[in-house]
This record gives sequence, C-alpha cells and structure tokens, in this order.
Amino acid sequence: MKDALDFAAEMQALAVAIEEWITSCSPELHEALRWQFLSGSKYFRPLTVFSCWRAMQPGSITPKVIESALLIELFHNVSLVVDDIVDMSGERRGRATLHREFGQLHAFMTSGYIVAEGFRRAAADPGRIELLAELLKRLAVAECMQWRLRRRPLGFEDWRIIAGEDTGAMFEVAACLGDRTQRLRRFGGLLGLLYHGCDDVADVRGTTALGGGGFDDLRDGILTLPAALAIGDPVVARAFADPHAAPVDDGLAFLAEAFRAKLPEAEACLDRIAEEARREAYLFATDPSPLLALIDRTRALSAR
Amino acid sequence: MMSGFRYWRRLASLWGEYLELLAPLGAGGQGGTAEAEQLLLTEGLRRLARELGETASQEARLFQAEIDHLAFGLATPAEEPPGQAPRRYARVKP
Repeated sequence: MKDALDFAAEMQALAVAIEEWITSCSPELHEALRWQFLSGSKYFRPLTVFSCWRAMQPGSITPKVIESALLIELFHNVSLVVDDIVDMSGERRGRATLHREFGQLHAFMTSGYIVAEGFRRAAADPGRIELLAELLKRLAVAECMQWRLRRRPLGFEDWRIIAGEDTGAMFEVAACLGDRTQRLRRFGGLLGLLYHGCDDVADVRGTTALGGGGFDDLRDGILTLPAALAIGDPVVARAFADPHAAPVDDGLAFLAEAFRAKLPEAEACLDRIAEEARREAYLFATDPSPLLALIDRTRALSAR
Repeated sequence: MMSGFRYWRRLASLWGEYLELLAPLGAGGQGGTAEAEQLLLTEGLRRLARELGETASQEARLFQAEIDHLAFGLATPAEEPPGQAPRRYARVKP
C-alpha cells in the first residue's frame, strides 16, 4: 500500500529551493542561513502544506505549493531563532543555536532578513501575504500572552487558547497555504494543538529523565498541557504560582512529579484532540488519507 | 436539512453533558475540596461553551460546503447529446 505521506520528491524539490534561495541571498548571510536551514529540519510544516494540498485535489504537487512550503519553513525558522534568543537556548537539533554560533546581532538581523525575504517572495500573491502576516501577528500575541500568564493557576481551556494561537496558528496557516479554500483551516489548528501538546508531554518525560527540554518551562512557570491538568489540585496550583509555597523544600521537583503524574490524563486529552482532527479530515477533505496519516505521525511525537 | 438535524442532535448531546457535569454538585460533590470542585466545574463549563461555539461554526462550514457543491453542480453545463458536435450559441462580432 502507498504511504499517504510519501512526499520524497516534493521534499527534495523543497531542499533544492531552499539551497537556491540561500544562494540568492547576500553572501554576508550565507553561512548563518546555511547553519539555520540545512541542519536536519523535520520539515513538519511543509509536510502539512503538501498533505493538505493532496487531501483536496488529485495530481502532482505544483511548483506554487513547493513555494508555499518554502515560505512556511522560512517563517517557522524565524520563530525558532527568536525563541532560542529569548530562551537563551544553546542547542537546537543537536548543534549550536544561531545566536550561540554567530552572536545575537547576527541572529536578530538574519531573522529580520528572512521575514523580508518571505514577504518579497509572496509579493505576487496577496492571499499568501495575508496568511503570513496573520501568522506573524498571532505568534507575537501568543508569545506575549504565554509570558504574561506564566505562574497563573489556569486550566486546560487556557492551555488550549495559548497553544492554539502559538503552534496552532502555524499549522492553521500551513493548512491554508496547502488548500487555499481554507476548508482545512480548523484541521490545521487542531493539528498544531496536537503537536504542541505532544511536545509538552514529551518534554515532561524528558524532564523526569533529567536534562529534558521541559526544565525551562517548569522553572518559568509556563502553562504546558501536563501543568494545566495538574494545577486542578489547589496544592499544586499554589506551588505553580510560587514554588516556595510547595509542601516540600524542592518546589520544582514537587511540580515535576505532579506533572509526571498527569501524563496518562494528558495522553487521553491528546487522543481526544487527535479524534477532533480526524473528524475534521473526514468532514472536509476530498481524500482524508494524508491528513489521517499526518495526525498519526504527530500523535506519535509524545512518546519520543 | 441534514445539517440542521445534525446540529440540533449535537446540541442535545452537549446539553446532556452539561447536566451530567452539574449532577455531582447537587448530590453533595465528588469528595474533593470545594476549591478543587469549583475549578473542575469552571473548566467543564468553559469546555462546553467552547464546544457550543465550535459545533455551530463546524455546522455552518459543512452547510457552506454543501451549498458550494450544489452551486457547482448547477453551474456545470448540460451534456451534448451523443454524436453531436458542440454548438456555439454566440459568435464574436465582426
């Protein structure tokens, strides 16, 4: 049986397009751009663009769709560069982050350059400009909201709003770039929510195994999915707002344990979100098979 | 028509969930603290409010898709009788 997510040729075309784009950029930034873009990306967002396109129409993927995949990858990388600077992350994808390797000024300027390039490339298509502008604005608002709401004893519904505006917006726009009728917009939002939640769960697993990516979230009081579920307990909620208020000396260890205890419930929440996404795929896609495969691949991320 | 029935059926199902959510409160709670119960209830009510909105939006989108499908069908020209060459009904003016 054919793999519904077999986009090997399209991914190859995307890699070539990225390489050609870098070559066309100012030589001053070649090294930084290569560092950022040619370092083992999963291309999950381009995969979403391709899957949504194929779910709605027969035939091979057009150069315009490859260009859309390139654009979403550009903007995704802008969000990674800024995230890494703000979080002071030293490593991504197993190598130094852009700002660690080239310095903060280079990283900021490179991210600005990528945004400008993205809009320049989309200039002939106002619909794409509209979508990309929506993405950047929603990401900006989501990041500020997430930071403003840290250490607040909120719940699952709040997590849904924040994650939906953050990763949800990215995948919503990817889905709309793949299918311009926007019938898969909600599917994309749910896929992003699923991706965000799976990442949260995997991070908590990593935290308990020491050195996982969830430690920063724990220290900063970020509302992850396991946190949102755990703070339904008022004792945990108080410790979340102020780790010194925990019933034990090591407040962060107390919280880590409380979040870990909620992993089965978090997995059940993710199953429900995956089911919502499947329902959208069945209701609105002409051929839901690539979307169903995409949901399964995303859902598997929580076990990484 | 089908869209309307489906919408009301889903609303009825959500209403059932809402009643289930409120039931333990009338029966003296679930054995947790008042604060925890209040959090649970708030979360449940917010979920239902969201799902009410999403259901309406999803049904509207489904209805829109059905209308589009119908409209495309109407716009498709009737087939020519077999064996006849397509006829032009208008000509460019000289």
